[in-house]
Amino acid sequence: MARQKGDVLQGTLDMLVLRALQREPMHGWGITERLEQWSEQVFQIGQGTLYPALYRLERQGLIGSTWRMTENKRRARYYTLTEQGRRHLVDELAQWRRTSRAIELVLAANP
Amino acid sequence: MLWLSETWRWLRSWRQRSQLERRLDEEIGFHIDAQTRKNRRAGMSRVEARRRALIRFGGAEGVKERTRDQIRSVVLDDLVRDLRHSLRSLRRAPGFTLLVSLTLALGIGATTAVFSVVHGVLIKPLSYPDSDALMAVWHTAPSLNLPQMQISPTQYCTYREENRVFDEFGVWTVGPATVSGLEAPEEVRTLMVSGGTLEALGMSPIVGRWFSEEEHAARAPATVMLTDGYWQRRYGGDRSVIGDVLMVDSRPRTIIGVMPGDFRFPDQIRDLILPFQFARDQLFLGGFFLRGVARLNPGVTVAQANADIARMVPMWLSAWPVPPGADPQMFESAQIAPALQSLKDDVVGDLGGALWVLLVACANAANLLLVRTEGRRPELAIRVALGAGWYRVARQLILESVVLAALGGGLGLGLAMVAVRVLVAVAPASLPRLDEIGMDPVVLAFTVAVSLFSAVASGLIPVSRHASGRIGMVLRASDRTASESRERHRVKNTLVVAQVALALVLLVGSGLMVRTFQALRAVEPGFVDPDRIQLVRITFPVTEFEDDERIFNVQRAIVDGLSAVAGVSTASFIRTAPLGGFNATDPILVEDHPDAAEGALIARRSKFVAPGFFQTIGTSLLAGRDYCYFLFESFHDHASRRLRFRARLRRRRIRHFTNQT
Repeated sequence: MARQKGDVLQGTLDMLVLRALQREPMHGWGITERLEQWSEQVFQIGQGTLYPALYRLERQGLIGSTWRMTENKRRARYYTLTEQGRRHLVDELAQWRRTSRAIELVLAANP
Repeated sequence: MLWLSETWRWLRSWRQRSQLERRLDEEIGFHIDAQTRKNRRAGMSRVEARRRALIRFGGAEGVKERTRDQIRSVVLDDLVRDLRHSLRSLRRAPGFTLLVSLTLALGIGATTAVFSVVHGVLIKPLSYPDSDALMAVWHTAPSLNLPQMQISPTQYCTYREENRVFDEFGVWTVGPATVSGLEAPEEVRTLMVSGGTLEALGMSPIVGRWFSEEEHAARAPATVMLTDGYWQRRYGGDRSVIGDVLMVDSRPRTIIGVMPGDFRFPDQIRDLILPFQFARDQLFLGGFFLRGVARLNPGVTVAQANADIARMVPMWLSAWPVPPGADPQMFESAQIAPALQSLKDDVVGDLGGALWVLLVACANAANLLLVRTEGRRPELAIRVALGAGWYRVARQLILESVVLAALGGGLGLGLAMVAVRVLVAVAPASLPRLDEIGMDPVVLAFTVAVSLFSAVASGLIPVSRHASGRIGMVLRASDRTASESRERHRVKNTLVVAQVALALVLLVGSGLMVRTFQALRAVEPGFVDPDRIQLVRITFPVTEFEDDERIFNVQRAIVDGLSAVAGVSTASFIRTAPLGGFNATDPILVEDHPDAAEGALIARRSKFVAPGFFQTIGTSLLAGRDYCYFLFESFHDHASRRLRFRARLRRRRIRHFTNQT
């Protein structure tokens, strides 16, 4: 899988997926769309990384999954954020904000 | 704890595998459908929409693979799956499987067989406690032309008393003896030991005790020790045998102990153990007919031991009288020096030959595997295209060769067991520790190691060639018509060259051995028609035959009596059998012909024969004539004794000169 510009690191991807599920449960396709929309087409999540990530997060207990019917009467697997996942997301967000702020400071500093 | 849930998840997923598969398929299918619908809404045709959706999704199989990896335990599952796949593909090519297995089996079997011999004889430590400290004591006497010289009783006495490096030291020799007094007289094999020998070896008797120092004294009452084998055979293991009397060579000996069943010295099981009883007041410097064994003090090196003996040699020379009629200078000029070696003497150990065979077998197997993998390039290419990593393909190829090696190893083990039995049966009886050769855990572990090695060795080459497969090239070109890349060609060539080289080495080695064997067979042993010759061993017990003349007359009577037996043409005596290995080795001086080399004495091997011997065994004389009894009639005459000596030597000289010209 060639690395494109929009590829994200695994840890960051986890955080984004959890964020995408924060408001409401969603299936894999929906998560892709949502992230693409929000990032203004920057993040084109490779499916090769999304589904493994979803299964991994489920294994870790941060999200749960159920099978439901969509509006089009098709069966799909919906992922939900669990309590543990919610807490984990909050921690990750705080960590991310700290890190990105530090990076900004370094980049903006006078040499 | 994650480990626990992992295992649980793995177990659960194992049961629900098909269900999970279906659900994953469904989920991915849904995703692709959704993307397709979106594409259609954007205005693409149905076909185009689906195609773009599929491209956008990427390799579905690869995705499934990676996702599957997350929901179940990776290693074991894949291993089992690869194993099943390997077995299936091997079953589909039975000829190939059989060929490679047999090739490997031969290599592994041969190596294992030879290793078990080498292990039994050479590597396994001797069964004595702490056997690394045991040394065989030899001397060199370069001036006497003797690279390995044995020990004399006087040397034993000096070394035992004066040494600083030995914990124990003793001498020994072997020989036959006659046990009489029970049913029929029986000839037994005996081991004769001095004080210190059994102590050096350190093996305690199972009944009774070792000889004491007093029992080694010259005129002490005679004692004997039994070995376990003889004890079981003759006394049925009766422990009250201690104190009984046994007639050995017509001399009554008291039994004082029994040695255990695995007491093997030097290399075969003996029947009786007799003590040397040296009369110190009658010993001289010479008489090098004993073998020495010593147990080093802890921390003493061989070099230190050698140095200590070198120190003791001049002490020995000055402490003991020179034998009557011999030149005192002879012993000095002999330059006797110590030459200790580990008790595990050198043996036939040609593991190298079998390893060559294994290498050839591996190269062969590698070539076969390479050819087979060539034919599977399209399949491998497709696997790589589907998303398998280098690691997966490599793992599967290695697994295949492991399966083959396991098959080969199993067959090879069976082969080896048969081969070992054959080897032991045809091995020369003089091969030491013959009965210690067999299968044991070490040999088994060796077989497994060798099998693994051959698996890796023969599997690695195809792996390195194909795991990185250039997919496009393979899928485009038809396999049969495309010529090989230069690299592949080179690898194949190298393999073939290596195989031919190894096989050549083997062939040449075997050829040389065959030639040596033939040359050996062509050697004139000095006698003809051995099937018609009978050897009878007779000992004259010294207690009944003290008079030389009486012995002579009895011998004469025996020869006459034997010759009179119907079917016997001639009979005679010889001291030790031809090619029997035990010769007299003494320096011989010729009065009229001083040796060319100034002052240097050459010890020559000689045999003592009775008249008529050469006629009996069919040796042809180069010059002169045989002895006749006329020479011995005036036996007691000192002059005639010298005459006998000279007559013998003249013959030898003649032969020596004749051989030289």
